[in-house]
Amino acid sequence: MPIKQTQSFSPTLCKMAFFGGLLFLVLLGVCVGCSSPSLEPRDAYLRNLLIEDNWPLLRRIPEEMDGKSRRLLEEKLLLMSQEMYAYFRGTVIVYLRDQTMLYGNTTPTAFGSPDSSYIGLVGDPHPENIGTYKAIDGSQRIDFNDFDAAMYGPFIFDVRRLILGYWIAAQKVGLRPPEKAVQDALASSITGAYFDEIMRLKEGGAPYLFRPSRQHGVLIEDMFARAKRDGDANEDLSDYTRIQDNKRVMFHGVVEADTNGIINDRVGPLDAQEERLLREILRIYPTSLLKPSLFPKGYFTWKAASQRFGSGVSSYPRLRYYILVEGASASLDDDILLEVKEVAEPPSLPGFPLFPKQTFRDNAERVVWIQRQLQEDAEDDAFLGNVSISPMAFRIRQRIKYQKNFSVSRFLEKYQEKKWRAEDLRIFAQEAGKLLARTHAKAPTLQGGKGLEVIAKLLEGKRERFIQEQEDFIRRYGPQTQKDFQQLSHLLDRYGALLGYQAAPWTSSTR
Amino acid sequence: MMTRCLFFLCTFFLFQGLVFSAPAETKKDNFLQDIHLRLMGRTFPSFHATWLPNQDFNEFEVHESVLGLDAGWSHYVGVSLRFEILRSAQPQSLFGIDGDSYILRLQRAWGYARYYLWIGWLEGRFGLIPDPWIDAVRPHYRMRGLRALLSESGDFFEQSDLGASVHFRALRGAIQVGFSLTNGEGLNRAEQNNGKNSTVVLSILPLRFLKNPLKLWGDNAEISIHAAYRDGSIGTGSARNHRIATAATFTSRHLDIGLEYIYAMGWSNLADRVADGLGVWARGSFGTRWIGAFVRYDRQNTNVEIEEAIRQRVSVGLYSDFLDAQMFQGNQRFRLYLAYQYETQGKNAMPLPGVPQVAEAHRVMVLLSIYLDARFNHKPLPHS
Repeated sequence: MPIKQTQSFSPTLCKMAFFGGLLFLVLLGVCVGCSSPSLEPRDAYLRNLLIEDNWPLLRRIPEEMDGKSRRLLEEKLLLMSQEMYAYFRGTVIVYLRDQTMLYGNTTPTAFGSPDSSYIGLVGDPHPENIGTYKAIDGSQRIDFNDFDAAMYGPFIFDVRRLILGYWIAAQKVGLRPPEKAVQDALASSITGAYFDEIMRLKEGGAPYLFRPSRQHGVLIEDMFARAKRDGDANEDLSDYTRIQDNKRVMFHGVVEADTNGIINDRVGPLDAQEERLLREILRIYPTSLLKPSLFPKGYFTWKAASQRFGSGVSSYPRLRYYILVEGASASLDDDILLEVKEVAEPPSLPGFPLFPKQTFRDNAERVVWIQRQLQEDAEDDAFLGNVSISPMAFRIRQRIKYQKNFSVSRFLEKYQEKKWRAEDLRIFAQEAGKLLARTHAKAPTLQGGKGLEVIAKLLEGKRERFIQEQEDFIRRYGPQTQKDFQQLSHLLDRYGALLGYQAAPWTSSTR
Repeated sequence: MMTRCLFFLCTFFLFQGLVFSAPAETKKDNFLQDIHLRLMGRTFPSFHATWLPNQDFNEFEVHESVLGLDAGWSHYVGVSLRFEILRSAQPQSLFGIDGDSYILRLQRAWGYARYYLWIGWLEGRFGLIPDPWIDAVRPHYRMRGLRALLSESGDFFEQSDLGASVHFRALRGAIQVGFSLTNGEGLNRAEQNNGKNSTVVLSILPLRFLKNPLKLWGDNAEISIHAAYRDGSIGTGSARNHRIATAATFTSRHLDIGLEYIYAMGWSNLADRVADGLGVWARGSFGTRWIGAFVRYDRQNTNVEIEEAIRQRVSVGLYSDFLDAQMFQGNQRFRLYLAYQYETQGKNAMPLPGVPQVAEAHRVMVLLSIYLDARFNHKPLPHS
């Protein structure tokens, strides 16, 4: 093939430029339409984010012969599509991305500063993540109890998430007129209480404590009462274990019947690999306790274990196990049930650089450390601990009915029976505003200070503006979340149980 | 389905055609003589101190390291591999390998076949190929160590993707047209949807039309003009991800000037978000390789439909070339930068809309930009 050495191009310049341009135009024509973009931008966004949020589990699908991860993920999305509050609980990533990208009808905030943008956050504060504890000193308390999404970030993200949670709860309940007006008042109740509590603490007031009494309203009172009743009865042990031949063994089966294809409460046996993993976790776990000296030698001796299915929404497909240990004596009555839960990454907050980049060694350490910092004190849960068996990380706590969550479904039931009123929900929201304020006030900042100093500085003298901004936020973003929820069912109908995600069939074990 | 079948057939016959059209006169015993190799590497170790409004931090870092191997037979077929070294955990992630160790990953791996057609080279590539836009503009941008092109750093284009591309370089490279069809998910993900990104790039290097090369202070100078259009989608949800891009550069040994502009229809997973970016840079040496100065300005509008959603970054500084030479048939460079960067943003830009102070940053850095390039049995591409 001879290659002609051309000396001058000038005579052919026009021709060549024309040829190049023509080729460009032809290729341009070929380009258009190959990518088949989705017609509805918000739909594409929701699908992509929900896939991204579940990415680590989706990647397990081709590895598993029994299809367990696929089934659990499908059930999670189904659950989110069936119930608006479940949708809200499973989409913290959508909420956070909307806030940072100014997308989905959300609004900017005037209440932020560099200092207040790196506070230890609950990450996902909402009514069902508020629950009771029985602390080391025996006192009953109320606190946030789910720190899976805990991270450093702007305090306003927590405030708005809490408001959104109550708005969705009220929407689910379907408040009747004239009580419908309470739904609009939830934002101002939370924000006002939050503001007042921050200012009170700034002036040297003692932190607001939640103890069994009537002052916190009917809903909190109910939580305390149920926790005491079921905790004293040691109900978890009777639910998840049985006594056979004078030995306590794990129960395997359905504890609470499934509804609409969603597991409510089921426990199953472990395979050999899982048992090895759990025994290793149990060996390491005592070193992570706040006060290991509280537990005598032999306290955490292995007795039995099971795998739990059907708990949470975000963490529905995550690994969750119960380990039965000996407790203080050989008696069967003081056996202890530990819950071991796999902890995943929190949703990322792009654009908030952390120095140092990795403040924690693993995600379980992150969750446990922040929980101890943010709760009333680190002694809410004596059994709280964390273990990392790379690449997985687990949070461990006692499975006991002294820890009882608020339940929107229970409120709905009581509301329909006319035993509880919308006003009770508003009072609970107000108390939650105080709880969040107390939590933020003692939260560590990345720079080493406390949240109270930086938040109080921002809010001072701006009560009405603060309330108004959050009212405006929920007026716009609440209906957007409802619309997104309704859209999820359509997306599942149209694209299938995993929103169109397809695990490449040639990867991994099937290759 | 028709499009896919057509694509399979075109790819198959293009590569067949290109490979079989290689010159038949090469004797079997000359085969080894026609094999050529290229080993390359670049690394950018740095020390930088960053001041945010409420944090300051300093650290040693290696923000990019690449190792490459090109091997080919004559000018007609070959393979190109690039490995990059990066941190194993993403920012804010606690999932890394042994903490957050540096790991090696495949950045590019493609096979190519070329054929000389009438007035230039037709080249087909197949594999983990460079984005044709980045591939066209990057050779004309010589401050990569300091900062990647805004096309890359602003999340407008991925540096490589799985797919195939066809390139035509005519008239000593004066006119170059590239067309690629790729998954559209970039380097980090396997394909998520059935749509394919298609990108077409046109580059014109007008000085190559001249009989004699243009000289500036005794060294060759080059002007390049580029334009691109990409029809793209991303993720399982096929979010729109289209781009229009243009760039113009002037490069010489002592002076570089350049500009890039990218218009994004669909950005950062938001199909209805329209964003754009403008990058401008200039570098000049003061008559000696020992000292020079540079400036770079990036302006990225993260949402053109609202006001004050702009992020800006200015970088200024000095540099010194300890080594800038042709050795082992390749270009070797050992450049030290001393840079100052300032970042700011508008009220409605991310990450916390309403609070622009969050993203304000000052940074001072010392950075070594090291390029090594050794070629064996290298023969320049005729007409290139």
